[in-house]
Amino acid sequence: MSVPPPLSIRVPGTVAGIGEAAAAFDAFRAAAAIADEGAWPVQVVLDEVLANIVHHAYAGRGDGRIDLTFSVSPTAITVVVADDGPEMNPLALPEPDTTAPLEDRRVGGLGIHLVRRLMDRAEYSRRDGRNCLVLVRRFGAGAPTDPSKA
Amino acid sequence: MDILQESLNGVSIVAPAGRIDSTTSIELERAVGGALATGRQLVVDFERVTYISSAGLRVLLMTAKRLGGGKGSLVLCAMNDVVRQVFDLAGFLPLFSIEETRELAAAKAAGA
Repeated sequence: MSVPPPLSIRVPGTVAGIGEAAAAFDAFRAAAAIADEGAWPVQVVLDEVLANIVHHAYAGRGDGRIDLTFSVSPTAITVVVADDGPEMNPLALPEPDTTAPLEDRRVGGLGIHLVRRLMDRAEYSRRDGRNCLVLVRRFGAGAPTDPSKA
Repeated sequence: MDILQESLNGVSIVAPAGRIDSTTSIELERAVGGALATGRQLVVDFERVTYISSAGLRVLLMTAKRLGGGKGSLVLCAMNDVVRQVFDLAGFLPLFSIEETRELAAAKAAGA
C-alpha cells in the first residue's frame, strides 16, 4: 500500500464541519488506497465522535473548532480528534441497553457504543484545556487495501 | 442526500442513497415523515446505502416506535453487510422486520 503522510485539518464545530471532516477522510483514504472494508468503521466512528462534540461540547457555540489528524500504517488507521469544549470523556458514558424491547430503547449512548465496538483502541485525555481522543482501527486479516484503487 | 420515494401497492417506499449519518439523517427523517403523512405502511430500502451511523439509527427507532402498537408497519430491506453489522452492534436486528428485497418487504408491510 502507498503510505501517505498524516493529514491534519481544522474544521468548524458545526454540522457542516462534520461534512468537511468526512470529505477530508475520504480524500485521505483514497490517497492511501484503503478499501471500503477498512474505511467504513472509521467513517462511522468519525461521525459519532464529531456529532457528539458538535451537539454537546459545542452546543450553542458557533465558534468551536475541531482539530483532526488522520494517519495510516500498514497495520492500522489512527484518528486523533481534539476540541476545546468543556471537559467531557465520551468513553466514560454508560453503556446503552442494546437488548431492551422497542418501547424501552433509547438512542442516547449508542454512538459511543459503536465507537467502542468498532475501534480496536479508543483513548481519551484532557490536555492543555482540550479534549483529545485517539482512535485506532487495525486492518483485519484480509488485505487492508483495495488493489484496484492502488 | 438522494432519496427516492415511491408507492408500491399502497406501501410507501423510501430509498435513500449513500451515507446515513449526522449530516444526512435529517433528510431521511423528513422523507419518512412525508411518507407517513400519506400511509402507515412503510418500507425503507437500503439497497443504495453504503453505511449508517447512530444518527440514522435514531430516525429508524423513532419511526418504529411511532408505528408500534399495530398502528402501521415498518419493514427494512436490502441491507449490505456494513449496515447489517451496525444494526447488529446496536442490538437493532431483533427490533426490525428485515427482508432481502423491496418486493418481499412491500408484501410484508402490506400484509401487516
